[in-house]
Amino acid sequence: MNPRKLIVTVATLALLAGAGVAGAFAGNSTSSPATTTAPPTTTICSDDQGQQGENDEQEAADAVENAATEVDQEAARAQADDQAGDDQGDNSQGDEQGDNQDCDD
Amino acid sequence: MTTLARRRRAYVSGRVALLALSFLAVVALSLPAAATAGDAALRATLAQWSHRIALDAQGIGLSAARRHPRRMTRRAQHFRLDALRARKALAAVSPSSPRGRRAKRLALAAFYDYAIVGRQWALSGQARVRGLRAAAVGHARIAARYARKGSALLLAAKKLLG
Repeated sequence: MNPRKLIVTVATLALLAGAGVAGAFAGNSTSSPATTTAPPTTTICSDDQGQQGENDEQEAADAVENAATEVDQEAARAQADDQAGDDQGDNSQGDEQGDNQDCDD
Repeated sequence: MTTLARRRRAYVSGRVALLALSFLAVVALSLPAAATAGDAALRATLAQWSHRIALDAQGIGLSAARRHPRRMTRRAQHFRLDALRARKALAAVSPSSPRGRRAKRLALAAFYDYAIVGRQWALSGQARVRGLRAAAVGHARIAARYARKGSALLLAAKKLLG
């Protein structure tokens, strides 16, 4: 193969390879919206900012286990509930929606 | 004339061979990228819903610590719904590798356990409101057991996805 042919071959291969990889990634980005079930929109609390990304699963595992410990301890505690504070929550409409938006109990 | 025709034919066949080679190269290069595409979508969905579940759980812990059982119950019901939504979202993703498929199975199992956790927390809160401490403790213990199991499955799924 002469040098001219070699250059043409290499250039064509590089271009087509680039197009193939770009196509695969484009396919990925178009397929992801179909996979989501109404992705949640949340206002992230100040102490959560910047944490999303690498350790979401670890964060979730820790949060769930911590909550389980809290619920377990509180269920066993004989101390009376904070009736007033709890009732305040009852008055607020759409409390479920706002649970994670104000990040405050 | 014959020599010219032979050269021309050789040139054309060389071009065709070049095109075929290029096509094969493109296929070979795009296959690994396409294989990771489905797994990447799974990873993104898992991260999204894990983040949501973490926020829900933080709220529940806060309500429990502040002794607000009614609010805790509502949040627990919301947590359960989010766990079920996460399962639905994950079920819609098609992983492209065996590791991805295994990760998906683990993640689905994790969120199934989390849905049970949410249900048990809600029952615990309701029992607490009614003053049934033993029942509240019982449901909380069951929730804690499923929480540990669900978390282990979630982390295993994450590990598989890298």
